[in-house]
Amino acid sequence: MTMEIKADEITRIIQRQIEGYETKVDVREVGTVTSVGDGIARLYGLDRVMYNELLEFPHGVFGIALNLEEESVGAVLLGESFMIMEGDLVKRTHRIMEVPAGPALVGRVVNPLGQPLDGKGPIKTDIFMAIERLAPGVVERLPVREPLQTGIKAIDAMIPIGRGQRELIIGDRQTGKTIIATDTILNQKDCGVICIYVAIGQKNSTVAQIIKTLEDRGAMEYSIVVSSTASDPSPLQYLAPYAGCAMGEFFRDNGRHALVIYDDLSKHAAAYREISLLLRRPPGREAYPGDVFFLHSRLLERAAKLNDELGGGTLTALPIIETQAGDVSGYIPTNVISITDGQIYLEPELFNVGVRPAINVGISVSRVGGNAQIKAMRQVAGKLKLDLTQYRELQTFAQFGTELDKTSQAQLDRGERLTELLKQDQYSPFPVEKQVLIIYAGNRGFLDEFRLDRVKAYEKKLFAFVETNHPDILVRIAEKKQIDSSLDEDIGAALAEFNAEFKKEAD
Amino acid sequence: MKNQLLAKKYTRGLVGALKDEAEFRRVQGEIQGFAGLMRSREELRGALANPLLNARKKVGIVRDILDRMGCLDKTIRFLSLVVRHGRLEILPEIEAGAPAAWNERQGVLTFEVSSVVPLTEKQKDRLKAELERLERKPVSLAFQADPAIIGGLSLRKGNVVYDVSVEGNLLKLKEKIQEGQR
Repeated sequence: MTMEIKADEITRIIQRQIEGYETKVDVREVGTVTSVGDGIARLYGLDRVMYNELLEFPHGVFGIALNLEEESVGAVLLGESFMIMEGDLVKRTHRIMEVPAGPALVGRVVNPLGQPLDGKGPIKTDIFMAIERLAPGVVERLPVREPLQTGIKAIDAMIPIGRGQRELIIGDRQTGKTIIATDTILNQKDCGVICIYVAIGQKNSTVAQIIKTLEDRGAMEYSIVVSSTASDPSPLQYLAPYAGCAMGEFFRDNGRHALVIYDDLSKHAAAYREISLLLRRPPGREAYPGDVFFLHSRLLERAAKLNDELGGGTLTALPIIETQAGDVSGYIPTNVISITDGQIYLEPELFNVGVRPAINVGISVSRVGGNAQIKAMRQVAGKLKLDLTQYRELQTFAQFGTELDKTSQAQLDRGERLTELLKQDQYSPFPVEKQVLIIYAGNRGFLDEFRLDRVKAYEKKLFAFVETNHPDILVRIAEKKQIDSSLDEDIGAALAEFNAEFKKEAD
Repeated sequence: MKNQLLAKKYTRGLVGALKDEAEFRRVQGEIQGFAGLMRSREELRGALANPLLNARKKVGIVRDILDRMGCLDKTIRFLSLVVRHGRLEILPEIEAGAPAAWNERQGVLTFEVSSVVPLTEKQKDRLKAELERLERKPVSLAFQADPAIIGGLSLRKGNVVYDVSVEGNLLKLKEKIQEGQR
């Protein structure tokens, strides 16, 4: 009985709504499709359409107005174009492209339009963010000063990344670029940083692999994956980083911290080139359009550390660029290098000799520098960089088989051990206090007495030893964030104690 | 659609050169006459489409015919231009688009009115009067039957559609329901 009443009520509501409609005249601006093909439609009419406005085509397909010309409008289609025909009517929506944002997206895999791809049901959120927004101005920002720990020793010690920074990860294919990105995501557990991984033009299998890694290690709880794979139309690949950035901006603007990874911007530039050429924009160098620099600069400028009045939130960007045969002087690599605040350069030669992560510390830099490190790390890392530089210089000599004096030989040995120490397995990020401890050991020569192939075992056992026998040391490094004289003594004593034990074991 | 855009340029040029309504009527009639001739005489169509004849010869043919028909000088020159440009295939679009272009030049707004059943003369007059009152300009209406709109009326003025059709309302209802779901 109650069901009947409900059904009746619903009918009346619908009836009332429909009756209400009839009194209103729906005024809309329309244009006509003059040609369509390759995901691009040319439209006649729509003379008041806005740049980047969302347009509604028949059969529920949407498009974005990208070319506003004197007599026609060029639009990219965000869906299948085979149903669109010449003469079809296109409606203005008066809306700039938006994506859903907010906490409801965390843990989800979405496409660049914000539609779920993970089969976990619709995304329930009232929050929408425009995908193209102006970056915060000078007044709204603060210098980058909080560290974003990647958990990778070589990066946190020598190329520190701060929250709000843009650090480029650059290298050939198969050099471990994505691994650095995923390790950084894994290390953000319990740090309050929301991670957004944007896949642009990747293989579906690669994206699935990354999602699985994040899920298996509990990182999806604080991550969003925006996926536009190689089989998606180029407009979707073009939109993906802006969509991911807009999702991150929500957290930045609400006083929280977000990290967004664009994997990778070379494919993004290629997708944009495709769109531009189809829209018949004039090609420039390497057939990229003239505004390919602006394409990336306006995206990366949105990474920022906001001032305290605005909540002090941050958006850190880790763009990835794939080089061809180590050529960093290509068009897109040089563009992105000049936009970002430093780069992590990965080399296939290093990768092949077993230095993993294959970071070339010589030409990798972070222009934010020490501000993005805790003091304890600054104290130990300064010497590390110096030792490694000297080692590299000596290494060239040593290659000629020159007889070396005792000091030089010692420097060479130290350098070899430090290089060994900076090697790290994938998916095993370290907390900063452990990094400080092991680098301290390397710097102060505690490793010198052991063979090179024992370094890995030394590191593993040292952590176990300190955790059981001197747990206060790690806590003190983490809390004080600097090594004062008493802590310095305690670490020294603990390491000497461990060395004796490890030596016994080795014998 | 492309042809219509192209034809628009020619019709605008044509009506821009005409003085008054009487001249427009005459030129329009002459263009219609020539278009009719093209449709009915296959040998003329063939000759004008023949790639072996150059544009000058084709213009000569058209001029001769139009002279015999006693056409106005402006008509002759306009059609010669169309032939010289090799655009005779858009003559039907030019013919159809000329009244709208003339109205536009005269400051008369053209509304395309779609309805399921043809409107009565009384309804047409009422609609025209109401639109003229709202627009404060003379209005010309072009009527067409469109069963797809189910009921009501749909008016189109250039890029703007005023939709009071059942189809439009149903679409709006669908959008509302989809929004609720989101």
